Amino acid sequence: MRVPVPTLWAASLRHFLRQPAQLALALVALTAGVATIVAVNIATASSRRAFELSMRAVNGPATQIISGGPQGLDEALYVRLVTGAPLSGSPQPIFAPLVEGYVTAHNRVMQLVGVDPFATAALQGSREAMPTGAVGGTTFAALRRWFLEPGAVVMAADTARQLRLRVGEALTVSIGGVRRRATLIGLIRDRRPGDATLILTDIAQAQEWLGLTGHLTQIDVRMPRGPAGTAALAALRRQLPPGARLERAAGQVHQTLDMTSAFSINLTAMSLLALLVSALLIYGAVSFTVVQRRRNIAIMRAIGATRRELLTIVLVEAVVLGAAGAGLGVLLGLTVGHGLVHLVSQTVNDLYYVVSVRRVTLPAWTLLEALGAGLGTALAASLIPALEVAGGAPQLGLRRSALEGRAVLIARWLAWLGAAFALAAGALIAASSRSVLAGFASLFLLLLSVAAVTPSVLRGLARLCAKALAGISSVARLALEDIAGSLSRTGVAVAALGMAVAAMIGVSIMVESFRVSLRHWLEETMRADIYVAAPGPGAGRPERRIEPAVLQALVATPGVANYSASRSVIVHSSRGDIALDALHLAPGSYAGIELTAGNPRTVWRDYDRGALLLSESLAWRLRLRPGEHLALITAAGPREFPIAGVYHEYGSGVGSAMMSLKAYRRLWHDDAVTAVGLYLDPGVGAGQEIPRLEAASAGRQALLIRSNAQIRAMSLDIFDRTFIITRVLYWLAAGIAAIGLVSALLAWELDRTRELSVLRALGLTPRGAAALVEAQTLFMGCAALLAAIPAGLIIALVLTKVIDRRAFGWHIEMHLHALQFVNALALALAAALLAGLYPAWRAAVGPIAGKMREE
Amino acid sequence: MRLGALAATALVMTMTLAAHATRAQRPSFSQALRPQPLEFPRDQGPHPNFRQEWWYVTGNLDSSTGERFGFELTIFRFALAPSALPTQSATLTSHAERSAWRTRQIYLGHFAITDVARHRFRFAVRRSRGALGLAGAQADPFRVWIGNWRIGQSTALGAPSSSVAKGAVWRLQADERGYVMSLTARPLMPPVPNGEDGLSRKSGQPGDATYYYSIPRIAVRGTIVRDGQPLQVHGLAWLDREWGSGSLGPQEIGWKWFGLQLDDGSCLMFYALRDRDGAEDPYSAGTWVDAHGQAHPLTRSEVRIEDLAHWTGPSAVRYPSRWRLQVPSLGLALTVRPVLADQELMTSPRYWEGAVDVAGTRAGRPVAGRGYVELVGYAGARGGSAAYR
Repeated sequence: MRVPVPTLWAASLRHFLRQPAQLALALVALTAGVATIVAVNIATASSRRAFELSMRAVNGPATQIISGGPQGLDEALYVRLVTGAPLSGSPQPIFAPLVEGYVTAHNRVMQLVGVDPFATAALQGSREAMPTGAVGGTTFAALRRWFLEPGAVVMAADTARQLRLRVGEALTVSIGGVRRRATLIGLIRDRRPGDATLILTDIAQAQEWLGLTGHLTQIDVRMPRGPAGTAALAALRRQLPPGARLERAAGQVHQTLDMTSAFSINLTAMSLLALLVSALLIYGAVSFTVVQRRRNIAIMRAIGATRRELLTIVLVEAVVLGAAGAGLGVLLGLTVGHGLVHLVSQTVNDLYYVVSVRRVTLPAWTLLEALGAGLGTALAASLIPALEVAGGAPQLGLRRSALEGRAVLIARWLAWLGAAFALAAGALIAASSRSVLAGFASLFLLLLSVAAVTPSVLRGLARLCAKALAGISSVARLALEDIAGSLSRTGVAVAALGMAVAAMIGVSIMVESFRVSLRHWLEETMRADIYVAAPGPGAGRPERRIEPAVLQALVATPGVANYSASRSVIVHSSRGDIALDALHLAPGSYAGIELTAGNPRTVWRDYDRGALLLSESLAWRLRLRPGEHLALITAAGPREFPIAGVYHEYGSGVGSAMMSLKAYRRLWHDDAVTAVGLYLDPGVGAGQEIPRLEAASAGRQALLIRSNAQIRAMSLDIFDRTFIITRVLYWLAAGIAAIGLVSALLAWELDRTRELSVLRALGLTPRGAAALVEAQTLFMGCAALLAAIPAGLIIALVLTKVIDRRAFGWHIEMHLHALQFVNALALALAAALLAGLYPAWRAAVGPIAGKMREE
Repeated sequence: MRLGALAATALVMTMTLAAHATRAQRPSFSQALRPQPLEFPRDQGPHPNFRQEWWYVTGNLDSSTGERFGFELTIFRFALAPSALPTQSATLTSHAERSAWRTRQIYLGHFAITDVARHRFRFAVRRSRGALGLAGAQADPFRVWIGNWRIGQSTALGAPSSSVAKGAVWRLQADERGYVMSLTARPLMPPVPNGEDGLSRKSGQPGDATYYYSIPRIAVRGTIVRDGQPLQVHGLAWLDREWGSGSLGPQEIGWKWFGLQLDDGSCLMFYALRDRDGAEDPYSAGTWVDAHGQAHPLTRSEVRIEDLAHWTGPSAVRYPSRWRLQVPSLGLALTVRPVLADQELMTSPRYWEGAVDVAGTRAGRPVAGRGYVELVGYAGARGGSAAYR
């Protein structure tokens, strides 16, 4: 006998039409999972791309870049290269000077780039001086405006439109808090990528605005190709002063990207975590749609459908579901991704480099990854139960008892597997000392191990309780035995819940521990009463400087007793770019720096003599210890600095170094000050002093003047902002877990209608039936918790002690807080209670006879 | 009379428009209005209060291997505004913040080599701001430069001060693809003022004039490195110096300029201004310098120029290419012929500037010579001068 194939398809369709909630749940799980992957990928890729573009737009066709320290290069170097070049009939390198910095115009962060139009045109191989095309009119008229019009700037036509600026109109640009009046004299029409955030001006204007007179940020070089280029490069190297660095134009992009890689790792890990949680939940959702039809499938098998036909149907269903879920997920992910892009770029900007993301990048592989995750997981999720059902003898599928027997076996086997996973995770951590990826791998192993162990925990707990309650309540015993006996239904859902709760406990303990550590650190470090800083994007930007006259006025303001001053810059080192904080510490400030390595008795003496202190992150990243040396490129060339100690710092994931301001000024010839910390006279409050300081700087520079309490609050805000993505992700995972639980319970409840009917017939009241169902789901919630709490603690330990340490070099003390568990407890129990509501209602109101008649 | 004037025409149009609005308050450029005695070394150097000026050296060279070369090395200076025009830096809080890159002086350099034996004409262009020593000019010791191209005393220390006189030694150096020129130059005669004691009027409009002098005979000697191979060369060069703030008259669209060095020791400079209707402009003029160095101004009516042939270059611009030049008052009848047809500089504006051979008679006796001819204003709007307009 053969069942006509159309009948099978019709049965499949009917199933989904009859169970729209089931279908919707599976789709929601798939969509959410895929959306998370897409959103996180978009956010990371977009900020990366924006960053690369901003580098490329400035470099143009340059092959090499000459750069200097924080103050850039002496402009005399450029003059020497241009006027001192030997006469030659062969192609010679072309040099173009650049002065750049970041400004704020109309609340947008823009890159101000000062160029010499003639040199830029020569480098770009253009016959026209650059402003001619943009400004229009005759060459002379254009040059006249470019060179002589006060504040003349040029920008991309699109950008001007967005800023609602027309040619000839004035705009105010804010540079380190000093407002400058600019005039838009022309538009760049041929669009190059990266132009969107550029403001071009003459190099003289840029020097004056950015406080870099006498200095160049870099010199772009276009080397001729072939042997002439090789020779010219060698000659150029000989001509460079000690503090200058020559590198390939592409290399610079690469190196600066390294600075953000720690951040990128964090995000990638989050997207992997999302992928894993999503995959498991997709698995759960889809496998239920198959498991639930075990009976139907077995009947079809019994009436003659071949194994192949059934498998095809199930797999086609999975593909359709997977494709629909992935498609919706991509759409949702795109929407969410836009929001995340902002969060991500803000986090990058809180570090050093200013990235202004204007366009969302969607890498092709993101779509493939998302579709693969959606389809692949849906297929895998259906395949295993489908094989199981379709592969069995035709009538066996009808018998639950055989199925549950098998589920117990699988659970036992899974428990062993879980133990193996946990062991593997431990081994992996022990074997790898620095790899962040290995840390994440072990974290995933731990999560999988939680998932694998949970069914056994559930069964064991249920049987234990059933035994304990045997003499007290037969209904309770029955209910518990029922849970233990329905592992095929309850196991996966509880495993998913357990995993989500464990992840939640782990992540929240980590975040909270980190937050507490950060708060302690801020309290320790922020010793001054008021902090004053030049505003602007990017922590190490040289244009962030307090005007000298303003600085004088600030420290002379009545009420100010003492002050610390700092200059934050990026310096070149033999090991890449490094954030350097040059500090003049007020006597009260020394105690605020908590040393984690180095001899506390000699460290400050060495520091005053010019030794370096490294933050934990930097010491970890560069594998340096006190007593070792680090070569920094000073104005006079490379110089070895002894490392006196390592200090606690949570300012950034890439770390920074500290040096005395006196030594810095001597070696880098930079007298600017980025920020000051003011100590007030006894009895003077920050609240009354701030208006005085504001008055002292008014009209000259708009400074950030904040009390230490305000700074602390702001820092914690930044912290919370950084972890928004994390929070979003784990709530998403928890939500999906709850949905999984609901769908599992619904499926289970369908199976149990007969048992409930019998109980009802034996005298169980509707309320009693509802309570029974709720009690069962609550019990499952508790089982999930029981598995999740120890697992969550271990995960928190791995996150703080392994992953944070490996990714950022931070030592974070674990801070356990009842609240973290309360959250998880609430989540697990609320999920269970909510999930049980509908099945409980059905158990209470269902007709008794109808269900019994099925027999 | 040189290229800069054409650019200046366009410049003046925009400048005057701008100037009309605020003429009363704005400072203005100095004007070439009346004759002024030349003074050295002052007038070797720049005159930054005039809108434009140039140092224009052309010359014919022979190599020790018997090859023939021509060269043009010119450095122009343009002021974007009169000096007192306030710039942004005036609004800055302290003088220390003023960038050294601020300037209103722009320099332009043209270098061309005519390699007769290889039938090559090559040119290169440089532009730079006149700041930080990237480009500039100074009177004493005399030096004008743009990047590493130079005219003037290269090693200033210990050199005699008034170096424009006979016996002074300059260096001329420039490079381009395939050619490096490095010459020492010794003026063989003192500067010769052109026009009315050095005031050269270009139109009836006061101010449409320049101060203009030439050193028509300068002995040059040195090397040309061609494709890496050094060649010893020697020959005769010509320096033209002009500065002013005006331009051509509204009817004038271009000119032919002749700078001819005859083997009897005399020299002839003549520029024939061309009007929009094709006629020769009455303000065309020149100077005859006899073998004793005595200068005699030439007016338009004294000189007859006839185009004998034409050449159309790759840019489709048609230039006259051979000339008969007659000065009956001097008994002079010459044929002037380019050593290569293609000596067109595809710059903006486009022009032709080339080495020429001269043959003819003077007072019945045969005379020969060499020189340079400049043809400007033939390219029309299409020829690139649009960029300056």
